[in-house]
Amino acid sequence: MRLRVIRMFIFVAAAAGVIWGAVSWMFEGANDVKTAWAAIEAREYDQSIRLATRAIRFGRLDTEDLSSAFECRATASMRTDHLDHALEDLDRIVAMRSDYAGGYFLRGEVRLRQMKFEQALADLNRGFEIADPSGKSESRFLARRYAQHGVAKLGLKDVDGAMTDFNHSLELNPNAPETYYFRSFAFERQKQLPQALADMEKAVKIYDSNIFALPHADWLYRLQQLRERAKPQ
Amino acid sequence: MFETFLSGIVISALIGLATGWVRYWMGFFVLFQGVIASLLIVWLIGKYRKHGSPVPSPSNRTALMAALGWLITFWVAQIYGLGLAQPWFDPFGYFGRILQGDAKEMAFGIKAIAGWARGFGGGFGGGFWVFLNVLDSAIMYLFLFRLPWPARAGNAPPEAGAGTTAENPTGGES
Repeated sequence: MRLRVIRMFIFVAAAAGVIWGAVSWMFEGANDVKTAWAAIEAREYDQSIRLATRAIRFGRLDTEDLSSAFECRATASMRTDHLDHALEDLDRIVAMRSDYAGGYFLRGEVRLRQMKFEQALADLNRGFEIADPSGKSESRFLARRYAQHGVAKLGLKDVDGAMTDFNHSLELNPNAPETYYFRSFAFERQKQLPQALADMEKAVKIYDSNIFALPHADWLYRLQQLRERAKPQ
Repeated sequence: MFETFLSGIVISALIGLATGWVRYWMGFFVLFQGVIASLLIVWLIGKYRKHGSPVPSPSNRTALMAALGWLITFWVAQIYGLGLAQPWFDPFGYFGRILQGDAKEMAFGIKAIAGWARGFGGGFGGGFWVFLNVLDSAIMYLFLFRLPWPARAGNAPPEAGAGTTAENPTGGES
């Protein structure tokens, strides 16, 4: 009886080892990471998480690819509103590659969604220290991050600071509808309703020019509200 | 007989766990998955029974109920096994989104069109995904119903030479 149990145990352990080895040999990690990013583009977030996890567990990835797999999974988690899962992965990226701005930027974005404005600001600032230490970069990719920096400041009621960030963001990318949308809130807080309305109209106009964009009912509602409030009494 | 049923439950649970785990990583192999899993379950039940006392053939109703029990156990374990493979345990959310058509599961298989057998693969969700799963489970159910039990007298193969004559080698009445 004892011999049978030992035999069974050895059989199960050997089978598990063989399966694990075969699975590791079968999956091409770097390729899985690429496909996982493609799945993000196609908005197939479950597949993206599956492929990125497969790459992380079995892919034998180098640090850069591993970080990319975590970033991909964090992006999918963030877009499906699993912010805690996204944060777990982003903490790993930051621990793994402390000189990579993308990890801090994305973590800042997740914390912004969690309404943790101070932590979001800290992460975004760290990202700017790495990606734009002089503050003079003309990269359009940073426009979105400056806009998020502005939103975090708006959340902390620093309206003037937020306005500076939104303006800088629009210098880098003058066709970002979200930045106009956010800046309209800053104008509204400063009681400059005509400017707020102008920004909101511009945001909707740019947004509508993208034929692939989904209808943004809350933007249209806000536009209508601002129009009514800006009417002369 | 009850011991065979219980051993089948345990074996179905273990095979289901492994199948769910593999399914998350590799995708759903339509029909192959059901055939391989059910044959493995049946084989392991047979291996287990070799060590126990011989069992009589159950009635159709009992065999159908036993197969249903094993199939349900297999599915529950499969869902759990898939959850264990996920980075964060959420198998019901995963299957729920596929069922609603909001997400897709990779599925592979062989289709036959106009006599040509070809492999197919891709992401499936919604009604067609349900159909593929029902098809796979139906095959599995058939195997689990028929194969684990010893052949009954009515279905037993004839012994060599029984009922045959030199004039009528098939043994049929003519």
